[in-house]
Amino acid sequence: MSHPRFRTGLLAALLGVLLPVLPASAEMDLVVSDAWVREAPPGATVLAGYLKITNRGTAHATVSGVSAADFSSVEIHRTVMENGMARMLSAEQLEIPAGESFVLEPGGYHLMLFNPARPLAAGDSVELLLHVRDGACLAVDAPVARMTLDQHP
Amino acid sequence: MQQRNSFIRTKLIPGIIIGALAMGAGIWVASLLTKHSPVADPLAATRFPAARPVQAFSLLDHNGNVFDNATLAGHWSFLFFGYTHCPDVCPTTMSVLNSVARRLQDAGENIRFVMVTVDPERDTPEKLGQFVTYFNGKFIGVTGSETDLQQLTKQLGIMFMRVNDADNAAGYLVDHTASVFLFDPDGNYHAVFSPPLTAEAMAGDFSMMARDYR
Ligand SMILES: [Cu+2]
Repeated sequence: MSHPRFRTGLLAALLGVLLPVLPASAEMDLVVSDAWVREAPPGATVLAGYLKITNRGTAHATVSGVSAADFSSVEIHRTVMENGMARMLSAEQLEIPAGESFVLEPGGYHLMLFNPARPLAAGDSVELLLHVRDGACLAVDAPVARMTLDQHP
Repeated sequence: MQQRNSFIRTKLIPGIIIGALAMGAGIWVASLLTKHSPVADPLAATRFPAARPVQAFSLLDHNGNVFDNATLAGHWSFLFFGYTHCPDVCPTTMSVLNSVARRLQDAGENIRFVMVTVDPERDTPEKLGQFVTYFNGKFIGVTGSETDLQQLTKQLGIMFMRVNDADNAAGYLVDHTASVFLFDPDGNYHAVFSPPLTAEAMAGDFSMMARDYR
């Protein structure tokens, strides 16, 4: 899976214009990698997104939500297996302790992306906005990709 | 110090000796049990000493054809129970099944792959068809009324239940058994693959079971 292009610098610049004062930035300590959206069958109304968030800072970080202009709403979910049953539970937020990473991947934590505004196929990309507890916002380009089992066992 | 020494003498040392004896006895009993238990099945799948007949059920595939006991006969069938509004587990399982299909394409066996919906209200035959054929053009989607579905799911011990999550933009989710069920060419319930599912293990297990079946 190729790394998405990061637009955090651009976003930070934009936020600098939009917001009078940026909080002493914890958001720049969060690095998002391996973001991708799973290509879904035609007509799908729910897609899944995955990524890895690394907290390179010294302070605990909380991602309180995710949004995306290409979808009507985004939720954070977790797939759990209980007695052989697959269940999906909502997660309010993601906690990333200082120096640690949080991975969203198939079969575990994932983003639920509802009602795509346009048809999405492998090769497209969507912008995800991660809302950090301190009020900052991280933008990441997530390529749409077919899940291939060789890459994601 | 004095007290501690006496604790070591009166409690700790006898404790250690008893513990060691118990552990030794445990290992001895365990070794006896393994010696006398039947040879473990080398499969990751759970197969039954004798394949189980399937009670009558009748459903429809995504092309509108009847899918019932007779449809199971004459070839192997992998059945998965899922729904199209499920973006994580179900697509992953379908991808695994596609990988199983590719690994077994030269196995000389007639194999069908079927997803039976656990969400008949939203999964119309058309939507099911779009969903399953996205993963593999030969995959089959099957649906029916909730009552008709229960005829099949109950006897297989499959559970599915709608979860009304007010926060969820999809309206509702469906918790469901994530296993894959294997039926043999007699139309009998032959084995079950429980998660975590890997294509490699499933294809390997299938090859062994198909060989034993012949
Ligand atoms: Cu989900």
